[in-house]
Amino acid sequence: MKTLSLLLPEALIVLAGLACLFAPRVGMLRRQPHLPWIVLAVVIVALGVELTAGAQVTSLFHGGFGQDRFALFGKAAILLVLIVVVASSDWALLGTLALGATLLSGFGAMVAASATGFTGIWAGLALSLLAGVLARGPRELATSRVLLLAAGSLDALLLLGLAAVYSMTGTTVLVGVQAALLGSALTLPLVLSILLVIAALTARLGLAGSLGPLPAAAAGLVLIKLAGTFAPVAGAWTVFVPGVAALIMLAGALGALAGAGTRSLLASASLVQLGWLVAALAAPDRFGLAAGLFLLGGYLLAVAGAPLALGDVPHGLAGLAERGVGRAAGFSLALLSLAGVPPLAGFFGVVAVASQLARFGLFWLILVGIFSLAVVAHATVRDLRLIFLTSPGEAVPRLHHAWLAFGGALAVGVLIVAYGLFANPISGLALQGAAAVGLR
Amino acid sequence: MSNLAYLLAIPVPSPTAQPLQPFGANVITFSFLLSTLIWVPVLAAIVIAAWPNVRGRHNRTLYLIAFWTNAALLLLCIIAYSQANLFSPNPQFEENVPWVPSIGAGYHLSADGISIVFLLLGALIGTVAVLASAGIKERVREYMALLLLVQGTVNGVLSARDGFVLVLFWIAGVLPVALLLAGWGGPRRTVAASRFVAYSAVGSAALLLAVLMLYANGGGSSFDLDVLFKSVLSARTQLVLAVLLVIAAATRLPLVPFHGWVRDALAEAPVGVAVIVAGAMTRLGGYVLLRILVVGLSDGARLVAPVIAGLAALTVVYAALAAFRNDDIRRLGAYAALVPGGIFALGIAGLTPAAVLGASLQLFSGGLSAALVVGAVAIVAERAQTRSIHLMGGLGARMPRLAWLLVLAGLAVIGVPGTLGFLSETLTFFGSFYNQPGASFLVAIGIAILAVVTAISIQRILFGQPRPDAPGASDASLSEFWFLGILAGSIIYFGVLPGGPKLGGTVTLFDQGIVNVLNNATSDFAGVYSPPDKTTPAAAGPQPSPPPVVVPTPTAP
Repeated sequence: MKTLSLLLPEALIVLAGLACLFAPRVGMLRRQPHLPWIVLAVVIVALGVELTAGAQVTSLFHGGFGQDRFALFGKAAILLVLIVVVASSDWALLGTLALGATLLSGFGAMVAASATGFTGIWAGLALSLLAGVLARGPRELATSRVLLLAAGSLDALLLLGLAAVYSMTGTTVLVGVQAALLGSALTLPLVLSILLVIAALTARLGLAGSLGPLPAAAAGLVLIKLAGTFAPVAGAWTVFVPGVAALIMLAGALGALAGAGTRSLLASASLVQLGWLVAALAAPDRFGLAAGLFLLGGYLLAVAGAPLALGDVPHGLAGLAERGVGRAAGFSLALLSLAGVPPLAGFFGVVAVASQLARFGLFWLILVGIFSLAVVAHATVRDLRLIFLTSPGEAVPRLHHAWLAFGGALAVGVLIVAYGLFANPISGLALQGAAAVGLR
Repeated sequence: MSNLAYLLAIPVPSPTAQPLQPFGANVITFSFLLSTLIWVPVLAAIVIAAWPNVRGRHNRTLYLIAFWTNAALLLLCIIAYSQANLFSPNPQFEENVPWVPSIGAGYHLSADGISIVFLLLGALIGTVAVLASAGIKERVREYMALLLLVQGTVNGVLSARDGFVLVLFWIAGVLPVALLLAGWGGPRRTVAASRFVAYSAVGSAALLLAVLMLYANGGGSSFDLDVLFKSVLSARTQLVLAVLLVIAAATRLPLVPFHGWVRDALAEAPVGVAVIVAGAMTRLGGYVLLRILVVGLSDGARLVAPVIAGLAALTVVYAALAAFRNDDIRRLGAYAALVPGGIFALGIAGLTPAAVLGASLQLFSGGLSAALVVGAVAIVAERAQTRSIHLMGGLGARMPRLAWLLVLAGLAVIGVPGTLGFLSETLTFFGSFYNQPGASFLVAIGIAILAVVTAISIQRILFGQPRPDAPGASDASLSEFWFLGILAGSIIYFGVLPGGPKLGGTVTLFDQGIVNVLNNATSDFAGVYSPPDKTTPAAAGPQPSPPPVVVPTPTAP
């Protein structure tokens, strides 16, 4: 019974998701204004259960589902992101289908976080992607198709890479793959397969701005988990990582310099943080990947919260603080976190990664990263000035928002601040999580 | 040194082998004093930011919250300064809890003689900055919140004993200042804010890299500065670290050629922001140089000393010449505010106990004089309704109170006797001449030029013929007079009584003497920079280091 309680968070999320998807089709929950509140309560309960029951270290389904500190960290981060998404979105506008699909996307990410083999990982990633596309599908059909095509192609490449690794190691179980790689000779096919896997996952993460935070969470967690699995042959792939990370960071900085609006700035800042996440892979030991995991948590909170807290701003950012202080605060803190401004989550993650890069002597990469963040921070001042220091004008009305969305926007800010201030237990858990992947 | 102190008329009691605890030591025993100094302004900022202030109805309330918060912090700092056992080598008010244990970062704060003096300065400047902001009428809520955030970050840097915490507060202070510049500055406010962010980014990057290098060299297990300073560093590493620290400090102090932001920032900022930037924010650059380079990297400090000396000379001469050919009174003030930073850098480059003590004092006195000069010129410009010196003339008769304060500001920057600047500059020059005679000479030339510029400018502004086409002028308001008066009074008080108000060798009741506290604090580490004693014949083999500079500690009656 105690062991089965491990599955309760997943069960709650998937049941809530299915209920939201199908109940309106059979005449239930059709006009239920309190549904998002109920779902939010369910997600909070799931998080509570995860944080209490998830402390066990065990496996289920003949080893297919593993509960360790990595899974605990990953699932807690996913549930926090779900809380932010559920609380900050306008579900009256989006509908119950989107709500259900969002929950299922979170469930997929949780599966990927707990998976102990290639099969579970791929299943979780695919479910998270499909549900994520479904969540935005009805509103933006054309974009969804493109996204599905792009992310699907990346998933196919990922599957190809995983299959190739399997063919060379003879197992799909992560522990087995790690053990097989420990004594194996470096061959070109092996190196190419691993690079394919890492490149596909990195590209999937790069779609976070379009796909949403939950598929990104799945991709990020899997990336770190597989980096730990491939650590025995780290020399084969870590040589490329700093260069790729630097390119991603500089692309983000260039995007911020181009400065084509708030959404573009968000995407650029997100890209720079993604570069830092990839940079963490250049330090493929327990501390390096723990830093990456720690950064990922803050990144997901900010990347999920920023656009949702901002919502639709038909009259632009000018004077947003006067029109809707909750949204202004939530969005600003999320944006500042992505820009690496202290004392917010992003800063803590960046310094954690930078400290590990310093251990590996990669000071040039740190410099590129700081430069990119500085460019983003510089651009952020422009938006903050508009939000807080510009008058909205007499004709612009105040933003009317549901209490849930208002609270959600505020919660985004609180969580982003709390992530840094309570870095002690969080980063410690990340360290244990990285150790659970089998790293020293 | 004792002779020098005698010449400078510092009341120097005989040093005792065991420094006595000052009166009231250990009265403040709660262990979160420094956290209070950091987080109370932040909490007050949050309260102010969340305060409903429709159409500015509560502007006065918000102003008062900011003022009383800063006044309470100042009181707390005075009590802490007066009652802490600052003559003990042990850190005071220490707090140390793990923060990000996976990378070895901890929330480690403590205060010693140096930091408590600068905390006192920061609290004084913060209070004065709020007083100077009485004229702000637009978006008072946001303004006061940001001003308090700046105050919190300044206190954070001064209290940090962990590299991670130091970098965190160092960077955290940039954004509020940038927003204050961008939101309430003059016509070139956007440029001012952009430049400030850009230069701060360079400095922050340099500081972060330096801390990370120390961290990596220390084994990558702790950011604690006490631990990091114990690691053995090669000369090459020390050189790289020293260069990074000089860049970080030079962007804040600032030193030429990293000064690009200061002219616009100090000239365009509203008065309160100019005061806090010149008086507190810029001091942090020097503080970091003192705290990390001089204390922890003695070889690195020696290696980059000529470079720092060159930057110091360049800064002072440049500032004096730039002030000379300038017609904008606010820019004149901004250039004058560069000078104390340059003199401080000379002291750091001098690397003798007297020079280091002089530099520490200069950092303190420079904060007061820079704040006074930028504040005074800003108020004069406001009251004269023009920034052009060309259009000013004969203002002394129309603004007598401001005239006195402006004259005093000019004299304080130059460092005339009776001001704290005199003592700090004299100590700096005397101490630096041994190692950096050329730079000392150039800095002295720069100060002489600045003195000429100051005299000419004051003559033109205050005593020249009034121009018929000049706009009307009025004297300082009460709050303006108060904020400038507090700064001027502090400069004179510390200038006349640098050793504290001791009468006939009695126990000090409320001031241990700024020079005593700093002297005692710097002698803990400045002894390694003692020059060889030339009065004794050279002996074979290495000479033992002479004792550190004589510490004028308070004595029992």
